Amino acid sequence: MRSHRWFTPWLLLLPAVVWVLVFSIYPFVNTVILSFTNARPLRGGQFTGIENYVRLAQDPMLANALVTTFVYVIACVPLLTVVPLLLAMLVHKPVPGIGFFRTTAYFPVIASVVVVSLIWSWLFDSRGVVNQTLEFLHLVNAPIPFLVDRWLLLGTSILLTVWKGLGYYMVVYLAALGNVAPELHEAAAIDGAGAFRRFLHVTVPGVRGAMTLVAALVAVSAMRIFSELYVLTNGSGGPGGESMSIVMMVKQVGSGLNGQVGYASAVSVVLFLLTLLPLLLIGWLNNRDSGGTLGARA
Amino acid sequence: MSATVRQRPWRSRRSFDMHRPTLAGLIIRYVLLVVVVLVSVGPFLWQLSTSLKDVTEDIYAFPPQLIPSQPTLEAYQSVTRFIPVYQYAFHSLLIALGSVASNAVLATLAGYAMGTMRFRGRMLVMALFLSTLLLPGEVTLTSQFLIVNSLGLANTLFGVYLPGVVGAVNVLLMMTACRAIPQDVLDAATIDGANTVQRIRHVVWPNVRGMVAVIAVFSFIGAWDDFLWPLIVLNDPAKYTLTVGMAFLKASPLGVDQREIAAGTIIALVPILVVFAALQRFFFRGVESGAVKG
Amino acid sequence: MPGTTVHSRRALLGALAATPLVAGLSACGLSPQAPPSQAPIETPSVLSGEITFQTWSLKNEKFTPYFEKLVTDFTTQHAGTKINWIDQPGDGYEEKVLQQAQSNTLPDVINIPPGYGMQLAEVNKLVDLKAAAPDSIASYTEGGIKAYTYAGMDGAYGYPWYLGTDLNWWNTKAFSDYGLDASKLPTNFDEFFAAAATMAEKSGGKMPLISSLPGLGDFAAAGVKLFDGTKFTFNTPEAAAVLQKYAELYKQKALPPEVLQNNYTGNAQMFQQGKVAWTTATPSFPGDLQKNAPTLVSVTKATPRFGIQPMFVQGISVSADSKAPALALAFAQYVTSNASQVEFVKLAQGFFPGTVEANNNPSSFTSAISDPLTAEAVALAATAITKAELITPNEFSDEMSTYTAQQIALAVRGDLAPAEALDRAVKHCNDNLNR
Repeated sequence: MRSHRWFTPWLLLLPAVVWVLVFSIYPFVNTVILSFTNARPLRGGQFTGIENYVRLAQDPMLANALVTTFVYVIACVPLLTVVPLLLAMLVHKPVPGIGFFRTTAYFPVIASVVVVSLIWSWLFDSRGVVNQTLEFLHLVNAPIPFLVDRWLLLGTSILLTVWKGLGYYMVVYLAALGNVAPELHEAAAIDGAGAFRRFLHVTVPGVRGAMTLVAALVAVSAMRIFSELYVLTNGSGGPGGESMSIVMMVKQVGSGLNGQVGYASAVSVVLFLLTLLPLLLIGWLNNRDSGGTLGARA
Repeated sequence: MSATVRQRPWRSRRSFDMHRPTLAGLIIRYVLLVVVVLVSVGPFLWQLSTSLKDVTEDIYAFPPQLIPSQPTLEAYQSVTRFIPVYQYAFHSLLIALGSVASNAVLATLAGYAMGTMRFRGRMLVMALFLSTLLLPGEVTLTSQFLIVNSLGLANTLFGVYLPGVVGAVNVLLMMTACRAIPQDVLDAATIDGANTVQRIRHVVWPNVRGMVAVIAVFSFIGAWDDFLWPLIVLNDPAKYTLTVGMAFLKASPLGVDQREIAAGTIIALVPILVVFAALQRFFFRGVESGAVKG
Repeated sequence: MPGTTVHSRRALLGALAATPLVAGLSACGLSPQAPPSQAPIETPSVLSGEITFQTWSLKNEKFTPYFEKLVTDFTTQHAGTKINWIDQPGDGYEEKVLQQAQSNTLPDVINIPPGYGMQLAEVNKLVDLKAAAPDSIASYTEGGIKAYTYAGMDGAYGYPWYLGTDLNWWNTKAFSDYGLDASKLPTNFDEFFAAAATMAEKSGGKMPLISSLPGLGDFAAAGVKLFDGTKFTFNTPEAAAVLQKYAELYKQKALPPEVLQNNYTGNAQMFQQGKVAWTTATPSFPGDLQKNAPTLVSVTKATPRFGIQPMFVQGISVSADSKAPALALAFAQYVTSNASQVEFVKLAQGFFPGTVEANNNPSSFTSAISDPLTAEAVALAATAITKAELITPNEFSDEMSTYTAQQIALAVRGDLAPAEALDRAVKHCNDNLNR
């Protein structure tokens, strides 16, 4: 039934919409405009058409950044979609003291990513605790260069991101698990299904929506990865800039008193477009699996 | 649990109650939980231990001493001597609380509109909010600074607070929560003569309190941990927030003391851990009250 | 209802959309800043007003009392003036200065290195001190003033405040442990490389000698011209040969893997951790050693750098947008006056003042040094600094430095031919020069 005047929804929405327009949309539009210029801070710039994009297509720094970022996405999405679900199932059942466990599982999320990255670079340093433990246990003969070798650094950084994100997505799953009616589990158990089969046939379908949501959130977040890699490489981006993510490249290229703001903006636009890719993939997979109805619930 | 008799948390193998695990299952569960705790908390404990070690103890020694041999608060003292920690924490607190308040109110209002009302352009607004999730926020910081600057708010705490007044994610979450309110309840209130404001106060608010707790926690954490944005906006060190103040500890030309850095990171962590531990019950309850409908 | 509302809503949205785009074009930096005029600044007999004084990473136990006293003394002498002293953390200073410049809130008196000064001067954000106060220039060292004089511009944009140079520091115990003579420390690059190779071999790679990547200083020492006035030119065969040598030494484990990260203070940190046997650092290094690695103090020795002795300069500049230019200029001169600089350098042991008078009487500030190792190092540095040069061209920005280091790291690791690494670096730097 019509229970409000036509402008009521708009009034309620106005602050949020204005905020989003001013602080999210407008800066981005600005960035897109700048990507067609050769602007520098303090000096202004002129329109240069698609020159920045042409340059981008041949830039080895971008190629490196793309590889690093995509590896990040490919590693983080499965890990952060599945493990938090398991974690949620572990803390879902209200055994005594579960509050304590849930809270501590969420701690890594609370700390700022800069603080955690500092702790990590301390732990994984060649004279840090991890290496010393490995050597003590005679598993290795020399310290492993966790923070120097390209792939090891990437692995260490991914470990950091996963560790830090587990609690956050666990919470999303807890909410979803709360919706899986206990009666379904009981019915399946009566029918003779063991724990694993119940997981596959009752739990997973029930949290499917949440899994898609989590996968999408992780993908977007992984595309924008920055702080972990920045702190772990001490801002240097590794030899040849090979451990830089796309956002790191934007910062390196665009920062400073004579930074290339126009070029950096072009990279940002490319990042935005690329972020759509994993989302499309996830959407397609979801669509295919659930028999064709795309997010009909929303 | 239907029995009025107090039940043990586990069942014997033969009794059938699938909501309680067997003793063996329970033990395995607890072991796993302890592992999770160690993994989650371990690095912080290590940092805490480093911060309590005194100058004569070699922090790189092996085997690593978790318990300092002569625990001292010296690192904390030097940090608090040279960084006005309480002042900075207060600034961070102001911004965080402000963010919680404005998000709780504005996101609920917007979420109510999106979740229960029909109006033209709803899909457009929805697309608007969703699209902001895609925008790479880190790269637009400079543009945001120019906006805040043109409002004359550069170098003020209010300028730091401003972009975070209401976030698109929070709106979407509140929308989901409002969706979950049965339409009949809302209709009943309308029939009784309630206008929009009254409906929100008396029907919607009590029902979405759980989700509000969730966005309150998210807003608080987001504001407290924010580093890059306050760093850009604030020039005057007297106004810094805690995360930015901690940056003073790194790279000084006189050398880096890992103990002080460790103490600094612990100081930045403790308030927020305490706040979260105090609120966690509301947070998890809000989460589990079916906040995200399948 | 619906008919009219559609029109008005559309119009509203349309108007909303247009204005930001227009505002954006001017607000987002597509139009340059307007230049103020440069003329001598008259100093009135009575100073008044309020200014901000900004230093870089100098607010700590050691220096805070000094700065507070400096400000109090000045404001007592000149009643009616107010000075706000602020200090910024070490990291991210360039960004901070940029934001201040963009929002027209650059502090009136500001401590910046010559490179930043050049960028700001080119967009007329700094006062030309030569034009504003021609008589003041003579009291500063020539090298110091030269550091703040930029190509294509006549004036001087900063008063030199403190100068530094660094020295080689050696872990003599590592030398004797691995079959090298600790009394015959290397005095040139060839001896250095030979020692590095021997130490790597004898220690099985556990004690690398070299702790930093080669940089512009090493190329300059090999006789390579870095910048010819309009573009960078360090991609020569001589430079490639230097890189090649380092690559070979890396393979022999004479450099630890951490050097590839190009951490500015990493070499000194590794030395203190006992990971490497050599580092470069200013004469104030023994102070750090005592705090972080007391066991190393007795086995550490300093020698002058081989090749070209580098000079680091930090200066004080005056913002062209200052609302109290006379006060700002007077305070800038006060901060860099001989007396102030001598007091400062007594605290910043191992650094040198920027005034001619103080450098002619080194004992005026070195007498305050009590630690023998530091005193010895300062004496070495005092002789060395007379021959020191500004190696890095002002046009070489921090970003260019990061990029170049990335390519050099690749070459040292053996993944890129040295000549190509240098070509890439030079091309990138030239592409990023301000036209």
